[in-house]
Amino acid sequence: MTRTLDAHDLREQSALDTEIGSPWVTLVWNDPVNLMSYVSYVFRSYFGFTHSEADKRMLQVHHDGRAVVASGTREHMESHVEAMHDFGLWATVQKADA
Amino acid sequence: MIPFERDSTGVITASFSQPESSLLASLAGQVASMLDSYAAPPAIDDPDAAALYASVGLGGSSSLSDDPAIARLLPDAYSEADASADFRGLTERSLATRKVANARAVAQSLSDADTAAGDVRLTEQEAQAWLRTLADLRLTIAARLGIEHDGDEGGDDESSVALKDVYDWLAWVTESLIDAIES
Repeated sequence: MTRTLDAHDLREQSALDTEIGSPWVTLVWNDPVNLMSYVSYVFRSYFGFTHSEADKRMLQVHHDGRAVVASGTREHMESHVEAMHDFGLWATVQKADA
Repeated sequence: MIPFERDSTGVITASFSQPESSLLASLAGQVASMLDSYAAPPAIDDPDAAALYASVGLGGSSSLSDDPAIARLLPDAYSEADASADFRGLTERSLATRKVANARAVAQSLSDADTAAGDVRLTEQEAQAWLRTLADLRLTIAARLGIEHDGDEGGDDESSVALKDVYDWLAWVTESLIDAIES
């Protein structure tokens, strides 16, 4: 028997895709140059984070030395890294469980 | 400098003094020159010459630069050397090309303002080029000053202090531009 997927099923499905098929992350690293306001701006404008989410990750970068800003396929993470380097931030790609 | 703001028509404007404008144009020019050899080579009409140029691999490199400024502008993307080299081979040239184009756009905006004896006026796209170039300028200056960790101030000799003043001024310009973009 088949039925169409409802919204709840679709959300579970995509969460599963993220875990099984795409175990890579983009990390942004702290540096002494870039302004906290700039890093926050980049997170808001490029990743579409809210002010509060962007500030939270920016502070994580600042205090912990780095923060995960995205997860997914390797190719996708590499394109995020390219964009971060474009902005002058330093970012790297690694396996999610590394 | 009159800081960045949106004028009544929504255009992002700023006004620089002659010395400020000259300084900014000069710095942008230096970054463009520094990265030029890493950027895409010019289009070559002769197909044999173009093939030779491409085969020699001019533009782009396989590992992190020894120059700390270039290393910071074209950094590693992986902690593993092989993966970094692969990524660098595929992307460095286009990254450097974009950075050079952004720096040249800044110099052009300043030149246009100078010619018109008026304000710098930026489209949204030009504002984004400025934002990225300002970051690249500060990263380059920091590398020259030996700023490596949070709280580093650079040397206390006269020319380092002068350069640090420029670095701090560029931070202020950056924040003013972010405010204008988001207003």
